[in-house]
Amino acid sequence: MATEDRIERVAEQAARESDDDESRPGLTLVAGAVAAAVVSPVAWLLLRASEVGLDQALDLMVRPTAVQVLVNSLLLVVLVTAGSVLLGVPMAVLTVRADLPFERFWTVALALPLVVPSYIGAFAYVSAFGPRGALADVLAPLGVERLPAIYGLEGTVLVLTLFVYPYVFLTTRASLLSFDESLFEAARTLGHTRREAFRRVVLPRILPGITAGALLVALYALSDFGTPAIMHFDVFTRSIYVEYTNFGRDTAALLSLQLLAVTAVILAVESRVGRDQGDYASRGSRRVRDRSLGWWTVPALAALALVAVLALGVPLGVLFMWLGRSGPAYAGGGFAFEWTYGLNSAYVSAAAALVSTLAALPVAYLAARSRSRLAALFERATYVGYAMPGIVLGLALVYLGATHVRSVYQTLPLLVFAYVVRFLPQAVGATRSSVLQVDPRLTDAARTLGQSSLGAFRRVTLPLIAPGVVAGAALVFLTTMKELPATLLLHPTGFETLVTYIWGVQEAGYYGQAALPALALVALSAVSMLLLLTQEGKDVK
Amino acid sequence: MLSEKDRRHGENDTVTEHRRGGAARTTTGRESDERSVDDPVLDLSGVTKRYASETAVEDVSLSVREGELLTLLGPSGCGKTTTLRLMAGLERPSGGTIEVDDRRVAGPDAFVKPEERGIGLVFQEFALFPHLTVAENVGFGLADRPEAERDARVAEMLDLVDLADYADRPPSDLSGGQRQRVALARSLAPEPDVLLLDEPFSNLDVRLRVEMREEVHRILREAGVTAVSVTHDQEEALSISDRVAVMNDGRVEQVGSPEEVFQHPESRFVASFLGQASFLSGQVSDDRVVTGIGPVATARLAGLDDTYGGALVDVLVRPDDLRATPTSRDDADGEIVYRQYNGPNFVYRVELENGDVVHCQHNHAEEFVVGEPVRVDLAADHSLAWYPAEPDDAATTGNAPAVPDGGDTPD
Amino acid sequence: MERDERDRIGGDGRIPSDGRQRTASRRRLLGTGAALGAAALAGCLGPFDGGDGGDGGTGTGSPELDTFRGSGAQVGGRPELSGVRIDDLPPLEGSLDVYIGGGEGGLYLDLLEILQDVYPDFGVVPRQAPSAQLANTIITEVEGGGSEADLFWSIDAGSLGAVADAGATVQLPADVVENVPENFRPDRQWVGVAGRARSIPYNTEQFSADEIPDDVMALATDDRFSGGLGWAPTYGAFQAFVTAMRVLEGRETTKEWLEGILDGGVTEYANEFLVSDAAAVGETGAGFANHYYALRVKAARPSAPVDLAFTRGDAGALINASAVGVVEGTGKRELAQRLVRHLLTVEAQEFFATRTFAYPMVEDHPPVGGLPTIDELETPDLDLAKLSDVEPTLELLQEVGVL
Repeated sequence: MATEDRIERVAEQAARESDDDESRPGLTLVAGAVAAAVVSPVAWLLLRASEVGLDQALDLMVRPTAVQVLVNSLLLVVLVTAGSVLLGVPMAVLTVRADLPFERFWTVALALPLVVPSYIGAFAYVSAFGPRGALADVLAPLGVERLPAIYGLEGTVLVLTLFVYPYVFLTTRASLLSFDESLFEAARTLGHTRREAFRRVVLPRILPGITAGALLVALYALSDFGTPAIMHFDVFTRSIYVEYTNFGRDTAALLSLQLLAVTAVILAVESRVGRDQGDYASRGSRRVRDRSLGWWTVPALAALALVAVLALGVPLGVLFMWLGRSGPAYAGGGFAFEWTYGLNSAYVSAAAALVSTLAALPVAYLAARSRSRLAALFERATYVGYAMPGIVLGLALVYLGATHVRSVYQTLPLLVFAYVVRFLPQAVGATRSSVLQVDPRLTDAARTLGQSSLGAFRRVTLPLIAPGVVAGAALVFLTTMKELPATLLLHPTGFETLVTYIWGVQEAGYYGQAALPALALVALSAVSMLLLLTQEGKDVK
Repeated sequence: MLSEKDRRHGENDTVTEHRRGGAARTTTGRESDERSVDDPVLDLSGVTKRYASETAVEDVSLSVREGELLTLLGPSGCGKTTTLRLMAGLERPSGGTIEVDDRRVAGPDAFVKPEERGIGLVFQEFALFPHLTVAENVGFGLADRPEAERDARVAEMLDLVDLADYADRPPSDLSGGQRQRVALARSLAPEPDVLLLDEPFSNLDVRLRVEMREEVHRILREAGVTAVSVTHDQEEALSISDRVAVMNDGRVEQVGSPEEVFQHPESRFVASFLGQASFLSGQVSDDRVVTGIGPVATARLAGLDDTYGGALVDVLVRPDDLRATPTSRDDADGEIVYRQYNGPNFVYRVELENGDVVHCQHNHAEEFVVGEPVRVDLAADHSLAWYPAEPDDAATTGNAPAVPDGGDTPD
Repeated sequence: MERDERDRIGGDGRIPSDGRQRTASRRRLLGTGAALGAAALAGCLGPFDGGDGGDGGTGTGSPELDTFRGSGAQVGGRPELSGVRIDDLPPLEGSLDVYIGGGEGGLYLDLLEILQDVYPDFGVVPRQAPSAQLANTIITEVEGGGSEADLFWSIDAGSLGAVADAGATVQLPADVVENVPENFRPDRQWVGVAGRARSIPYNTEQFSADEIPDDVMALATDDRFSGGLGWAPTYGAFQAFVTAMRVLEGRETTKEWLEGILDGGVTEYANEFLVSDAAAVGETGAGFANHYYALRVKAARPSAPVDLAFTRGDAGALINASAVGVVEGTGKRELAQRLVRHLLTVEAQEFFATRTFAYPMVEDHPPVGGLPTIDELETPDLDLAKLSDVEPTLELLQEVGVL
């Protein structure tokens, strides 16, 4: 028997390792090209930062405000990430593993806050809960004179968490949906209570999913400008913005590099905690839905309802309130809303989703199938752009466009490229986990049936990973819909989108005018969120 | 623990090895089932499991005795895995009671959670925890024991399954057979009262399956554990079990030793599911049944008495019960329509003149050709099972209307 | 694919296929010019729906001043106005790429639209973003070989100052800018077109006009205002105000002032509209804000008990300006300069005064709402370009704990 076993083992290992990048230089090359393209804007940062003298650079980095900004940024990242995990994971567990009434409704309602741009969310919060907000107006007659401060660290963490936790919610759901239920049952039969079994078996298995979501949250928190700006909290993005506003492009570049260094640290931490083992052998994922909540149903529903109200109800409520208000006395034709803005948003977002998906395929496939450091490096590299604040990326591309590729400057291709740089990792992540679920032997089977490696990919792997690819595309679509800073800098002149319009009218103080396009933006993105949710669990066989 | 519980598999073992050995029917079998067992370790009584739209398990009563290996055998979807999960506490029965060591673990007013039942389960896909090493997997169920004791027990278990060298490997490094042994060791480590095995060999290739059967058998015997296994593979069931419970459509059709259920299936379903079954249709006439291969004395048919005069019956014949002999077409009972070569033997399919189809097993040296007219003789020296004719029962084979043709084939 | 894009967007071909499209529709400014927009416009063209049989693009007649003028409580009883009128200028013909700062810039698009109605052969392709970002963009573009913009219209003098400092503007002819005060046209690299004054909006139920000190520095020490002030320290205009104070009074004095206000107790708001509104509803007694926000509050609620006070000769009396400059490397310098001339006509200045409540930049043009004229205000003697030096201000604000 030992011999039998050994033969079988060797065969399995061979099957697993047959896929090495030496065997496909073409794929490695393409993936490398994608990675190089998306980190290219960093070159501009280096160029600019090099203009700062060493002394000045050191001085800049150790001055008290710089240290404070670093501490604030890290604090924000840690707290928002922790908050998102604390919200997203239990909610994912409730919606996947419990007999929750109206589970589908809750799933959608709890995922939707992701479509609300955080700057709109933050604004809604300030106008609802600020010192002079709607809530204060309501409470004032009741003798409540002062609300707890919404500004500062607490408010920023609260608001940011409410609009980004769905990343964790979605990735954790995906992990739970592909979780092999027999592992849980095995733990039960081995003397573990539900709680112990969850802690010792389920949690370690879904950890890669949780960290994948947490990574997106952490980098989002690091790169978001709108929320900390509106909530008065001084972080990297705000310092960078201030520097640009004051034409300190060199110092801004230096700060951006500092921010990228923090990004690198976060990426390294995530690599250590959360890489999944690529255990595609885990099959038999029967989904069990008899986890009775019993008495806990009511508190659980109450908690979910509270989150849904805070993260979805408040911003939508405020938007509808604005919608109801009469327009300003002298709103001019310059602010007339046109539905084509919505069309433009959808069009450019769809293009970004398509290109991101195509660019993600080689990177994700290589990362899932190869164990080489190069493959991992390419995959990690795609996160750099995601962590880059939009204004930094935007200006970098203004420079690269104006200097080197004038023919695409201020055209849609460059704008779409900016979106791809910013949001590629979302597509890579979703695609990669789908590829991991596909037995590589299926590709081998296709090869033996006369398919080229590309043909095998197209006819076997692609259909199997389609749900993940579509989900990634949907995620890119909805984040592109709400992207503001790079859009403002790079959109073709005359090509207005929902966000540029919202920005324009908000900037001029006409919040009422922003309501309709903001609602249109949320509605369009919600469609893609629904598409994303329909893909859930489809690639789990 | 090993030595303490290692008191089964006495004569039973040898009997098990000699399955379908053609031994005369031992009458103890069926009666012993109906006799209440002295002290069942696991007792199911009237257990039913209904889901929203269907009934998966219906009124199942079973007793598993100390130290035995009982196998639930049936086609997929027959409810055997659900029965196993009910035993483990992973499902809650809709009706009936389950007792482990006289303790009620499931019933109308009781439900003991799986972690408190003292029942181990080996999963079909083994369900090894991919994030833990082999040793950590095996020690998983020993979380509440002192570390030294736990380590000792893990080492003991790994020795038992012959995987001591793999303690620190992740399960993904192991072959299928090794994974199964880890799964076994993991389930056995906490010393369960009953070990359940869900299709334990279905994930292994054919050669490994046979080896692992022996290996699992050895491990179970050494561990002295009471075990219930589930399979759809009749050969596996017959070869490793002390007793077999054949399930169909959510019910237990028959429980008994492998020999009993094979030789004396109580239903057409059991007969067909276990081994190759053919049926000779015939009509009872005085002390004989007139069939397509000639008259068969009623004395050879178990339990057929005078009250059945004139009745239409189907007599169960296995391939080794029949022999074909080439003869002239005038003299023949039928002709060979298919030849199946199995290596050690041939099984010939013969279509009789009355339309019945039967199978005859022959030594590999006896070669006939398709189309050859043959005479078919009854070669069995044991009593034969029979069933009232059910012309519409599509599940049986060779069930053409019994029209005795009065052929005078010798018995 | 480019053709495809154009079709899909369904427009009139205004999506630049190579990023450098110069032809532009006469009408739409923001949009991509879909059917909806065109239809919407058909209804609001007003008296200048000219071009039918017009003689060579000069429009069909003199534009009415009322077309430029706003309406409402703040705009009653405008006096007779004199100065250069649109009719006095050569016509605008051709198309300009204008980078236009956000915020108030949105309103300026209306003015450009009216001008395009006056001149059927004139078109503007506007590009909107925050002024500072546009300034960065222009500087970067010029570094990279040339800007896409012909004209830069920023909402603050600082952004244009930065572009000018980078050598990315071209000097305006002296006769174009002669009627504008000199500190709003340094070296003629750019010229202010509409001003906004720092002011103190106060609640008239809590204070009378003479109770507001005319020295902004006094507010920090005056007990009557303790706990009753509002400000928006993250707002650019406020930071410019503190920068001015720093330049005029020195760092230490400014720091003491900030600490004094903080110690007295002050409410922080996200922007200065909210500061003005807070004073109007009595939540605060007074605040620091640009002058036009209180006028906007009054426009929405004419009975609101809010009025404006101006300090004298100090940072509190600072006037900043929306400004325009012709971008280095443009091939349309002549046309761009002609547009600048138009922005300084009686009509355009009246537009700024009555629609945006801004201070007209042309001397002798009166502001609305009973505001003192620009020469009645005692503005500090300050080079507006210095306002772009915000970094030390931010450090200071952070140091005292305001930010």
